[in-house]
Amino acid sequence: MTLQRTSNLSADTAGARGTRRRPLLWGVLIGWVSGGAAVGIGSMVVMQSGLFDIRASTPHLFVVGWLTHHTMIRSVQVRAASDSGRRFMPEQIARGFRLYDSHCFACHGGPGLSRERWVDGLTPTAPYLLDMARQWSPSQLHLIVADGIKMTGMPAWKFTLADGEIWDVVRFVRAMHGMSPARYLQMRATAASGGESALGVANYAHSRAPHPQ
Amino acid sequence: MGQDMTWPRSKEGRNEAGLRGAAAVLLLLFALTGCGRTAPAPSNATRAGAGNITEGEVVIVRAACGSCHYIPGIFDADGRVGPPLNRFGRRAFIAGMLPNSPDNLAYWLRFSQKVVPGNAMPNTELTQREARDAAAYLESLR
Repeated sequence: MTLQRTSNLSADTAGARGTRRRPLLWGVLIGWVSGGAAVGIGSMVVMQSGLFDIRASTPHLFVVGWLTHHTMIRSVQVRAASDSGRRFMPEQIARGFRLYDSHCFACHGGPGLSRERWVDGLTPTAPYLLDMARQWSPSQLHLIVADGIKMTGMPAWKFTLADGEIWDVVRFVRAMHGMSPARYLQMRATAASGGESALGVANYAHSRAPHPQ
Repeated sequence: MGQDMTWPRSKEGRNEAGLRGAAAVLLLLFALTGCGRTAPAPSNATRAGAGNITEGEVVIVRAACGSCHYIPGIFDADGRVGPPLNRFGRRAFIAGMLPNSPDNLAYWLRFSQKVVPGNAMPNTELTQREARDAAAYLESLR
């Protein structure tokens, strides 16, 4: 592209002033077309040569990580519904806890509790979720859980869980902001003994959430 | 497009711009393909027996430390759950309990629940080697 433009420019400066416009337009046009072709051919070369390191054992380069991560953040922000009018019920926390502990815990862990060791092998790896209530609104969390995230390990749970269950998980993830490890283990014990409805009411008073609900 | 007529002004400028363009394309190609990241230089080891800072950076990314901590130099490590780890190498204590040293930090990373039972940071299940590398990275933050 640069070559095409500059060669035309040198012809341009040598020639008469009146005939400038047309050769330049052609130069720009040819420059854009050949530039586009170069990008296309370059992409094919990168793809066919196997130059891109697809192995999850090596980390993303900063540029790739930054581009993909911010693409994800913006996509969620733009696509998520509004939060207005959504209300949560106290008992959702206990229901959400049971779902979280059985479906999400292996990859995302909990307060004071490690996720599975093999999750370190994912690129990008799964985050702990203790800070998610600060980073995402309820509707954004719902989108992430229900629809999943392409090119990560996050599945779309809407094919496995009912919509109400996904909202329960969202409510629990938001309650996990500032939840103590002892509290989490207590919920686990209570859920195992079948007393989750009383637990939900009790926990509601103690949980704090930065977003209005 | 009209302004393009006056750019670049001189022949030298043109060559320079061409070179810069070529360099930019090459850089972008390297960036997109991941060249040069596969084999960290062995010279990164701070001293014999100590952890490797470059390896430690990778361990910290893999273990998702950044979802709870702000850590300089680690992509998207901007969590607000635990303390920010900037200038960690200058801290006096780890979790207010252990005197700050690479060995103590490596121990804390693996067995934080033994040091402060019931705290919000889990035992990370790192190997001793990984914990030493991660500790070397954090101690290098000054």
